[in-house]
Amino acid sequence: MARRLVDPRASAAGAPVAPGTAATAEYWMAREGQAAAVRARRERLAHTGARLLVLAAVLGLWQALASRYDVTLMPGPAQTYAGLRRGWPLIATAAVDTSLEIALGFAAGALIGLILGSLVGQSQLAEGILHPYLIAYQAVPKVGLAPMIVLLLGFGLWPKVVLAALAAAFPVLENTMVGVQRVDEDSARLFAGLGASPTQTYLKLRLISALPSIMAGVRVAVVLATVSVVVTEFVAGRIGLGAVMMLGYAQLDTPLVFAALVVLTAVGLAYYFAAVGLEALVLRWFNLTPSTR
Amino acid sequence: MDATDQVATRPSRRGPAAEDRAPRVVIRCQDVHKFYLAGSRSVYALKGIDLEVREREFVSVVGKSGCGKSTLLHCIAGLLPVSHGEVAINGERVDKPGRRDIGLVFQTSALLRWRTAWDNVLLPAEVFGLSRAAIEPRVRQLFRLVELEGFERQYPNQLSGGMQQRVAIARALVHDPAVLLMDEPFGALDAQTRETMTLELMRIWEATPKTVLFVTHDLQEAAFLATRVVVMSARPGTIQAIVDVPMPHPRTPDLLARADFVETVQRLRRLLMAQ
Amino acid sequence: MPPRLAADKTDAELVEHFYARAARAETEQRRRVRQTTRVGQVVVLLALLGVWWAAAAVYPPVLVPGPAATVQAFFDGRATLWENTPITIAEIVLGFLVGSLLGIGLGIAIAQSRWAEIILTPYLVVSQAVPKVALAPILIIVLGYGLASKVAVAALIAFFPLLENTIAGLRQVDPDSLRLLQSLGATRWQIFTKLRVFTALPLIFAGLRIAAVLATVGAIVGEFVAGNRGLGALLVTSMGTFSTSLLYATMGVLTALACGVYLAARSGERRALARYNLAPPER
Repeated sequence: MARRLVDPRASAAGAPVAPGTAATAEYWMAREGQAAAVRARRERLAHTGARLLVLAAVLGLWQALASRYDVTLMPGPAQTYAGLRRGWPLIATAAVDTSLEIALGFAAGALIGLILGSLVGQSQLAEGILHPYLIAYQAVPKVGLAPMIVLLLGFGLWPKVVLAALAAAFPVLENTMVGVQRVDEDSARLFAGLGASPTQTYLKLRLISALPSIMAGVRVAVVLATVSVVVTEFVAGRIGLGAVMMLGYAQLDTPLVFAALVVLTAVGLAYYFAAVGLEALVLRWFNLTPSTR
Repeated sequence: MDATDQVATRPSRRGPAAEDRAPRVVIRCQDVHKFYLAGSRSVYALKGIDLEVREREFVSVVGKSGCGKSTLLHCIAGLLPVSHGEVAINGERVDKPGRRDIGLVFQTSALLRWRTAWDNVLLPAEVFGLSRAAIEPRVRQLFRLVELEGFERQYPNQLSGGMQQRVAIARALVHDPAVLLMDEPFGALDAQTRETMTLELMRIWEATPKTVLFVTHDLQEAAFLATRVVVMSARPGTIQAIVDVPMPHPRTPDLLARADFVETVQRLRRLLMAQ
Repeated sequence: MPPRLAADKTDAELVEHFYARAARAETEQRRRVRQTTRVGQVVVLLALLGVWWAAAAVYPPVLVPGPAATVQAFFDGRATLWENTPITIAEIVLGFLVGSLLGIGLGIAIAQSRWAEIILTPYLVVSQAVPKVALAPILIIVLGYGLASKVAVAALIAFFPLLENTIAGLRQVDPDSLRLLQSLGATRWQIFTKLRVFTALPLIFAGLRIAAVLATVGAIVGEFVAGNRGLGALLVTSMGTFSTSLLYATMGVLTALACGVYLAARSGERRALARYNLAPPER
């Protein structure tokens, strides 16, 4: 927000202010405030400048490394861009496929995680029964399941969606479970005192109060879904950006590999920021504060 | 124990006809005991509680921390089951929560952050399945009663502590319960706000014909608001004494300086010290 | 009116009376919960095995081998499994060590300069969203098919959470403790070793636990891409040759390994925290 530097000595009537009056105190306070604002703006600019410098340095380093080594080993930014233009039709379709897989897998997984987490979170018995299984589920890296699932479901869309769903479900499940349980004590007593049914208490209290935690889980789930999709594409290698990378890798077409990687990074970042945006929207709609986790 | 303390459960000496003229008993606790295990500790929270609260009475409950006054309130509300004895409200036994003839106010206002003040007050009506259209005029009236007209669309975090408690009181009144149970409602407020809220509550109670059970640790507050003060002692929680506060209602702040009132508060203090 | 309970009993007798009842009720409830939980867990296990067995009956063994075929393949393939498992373990351990040392080291370095922390924070946040496993093909091209590339992948993935946690942990120093040490005239090094390190430990240990699991993921993915040695590579080759029962047997070994890593990391975290009487971070 741009702030005009207004001379605070000019009063509303336009006449200068006499020293020693209350208006003088105001004048100095206003001037100090403006100075602080200018300082803050300068500091922010310095930070952004430094960050851009870091980015430029990294790109410069990349270019320097690339020019020292054989292009098959390490293409520089220029060759990557060339590879991107060359392989654009391939990369573009692959990007669409990968994005679709991430979206479907995440949506399915988050929904399952939400439902299961809500059920288990409200039943201590269910939590006790499922506890060892949930630990096992967390401990086993879901990406290890990729070959098995590809063998079962083929090389198309579905193994990626399934694996992404499996990966995305857990953080949402865990965060929903915890969020639904950690409700303010007196609010819980209020609902009990009103004789609210468990469903009413869930819909009007627990679910909404759990939203900050759930949205934090959603943020993690999006990233996990992306990773799962990429790995499954490595293994299945027919569609998607991961498959394009494997193609380039097999043919030692490293510019293609780098180009696909850059696009993949962009897709991953887009989904992450979408999740962050969704979190901010939801929290603002319900007037909640973000979870500290 | 002072001989002039009257215990509410002693039968009236006036005769049978007088019984019909006395206001009916709204809250009755008979030989209530509450015992529970907390981990490895055993807690004998309430022992042999007999209490009768009549219609339109304002009864305060005071006592040191841990004397069981909040537990008593929760038992009356049905939030906790009693280990022995019986609690009845309006003649019907209390054995589980969800009575529509009580309204609850807690120390933390327990307002839902994501609802406006208006929607928070509507909550009991929603839970009970009452028609929104039928209730809304009453909600508007309640906002006027608690002097928060114009703040209906504010969120709890935009309201001060005192205002939040006023919304909580409005919420407790929305379904027109016969009984108000209040658990240290002003405990979390600063001293100034507490004084204001005490007068507010006095005004609200005089405007509505409710029976109130009010738990607090502040003796002056307890005596100022109440017609009777129940003094509890801890471990196990028992009723040590019930002190009458016969000064007439409506009560004004100048009562606080009056000799007979100060003497009443002193008596309460002596009872607590003697524990 | 029923007789009063306390009429003829002392306080102690009353407590006895209630305690006996409450204790009995509680042990009874605990026993019931324990039983139901055990039964429930067995039921879930049987259900899972049942689904597997049913799927094996419905689908051809080349798609879904049953439990029996898997156990058989485990014995038949034990030489291959025995050969490949240590490779994967080595990758995980080395990747974890390299990633942890780099992460903690760089974290300490960055935390020294508030300015550096501010500049780099957006990059750290963004790096959370970037799928680092995608770098596996590139690392393998650059570092070859051997151990080094898989270790690099594992280290890369394990590095970031540790870096973040170290920085965050070092930042969250209790200001009063800091003021105390400053008033005693402690040097920066003394403040670091006597205070900051310890307030950072819970988050660092949590980061180590996460890094262990991520190193496993990195090793597996590296092996998927390189496809020559290790359990991950074995998974991919048996998938390609449709040796499905060997695939399932390898999965079993891999799952056991991953669980072992996870449990070791968790217990390591707990023991390390207990040794210094620290609380686990606000998870």
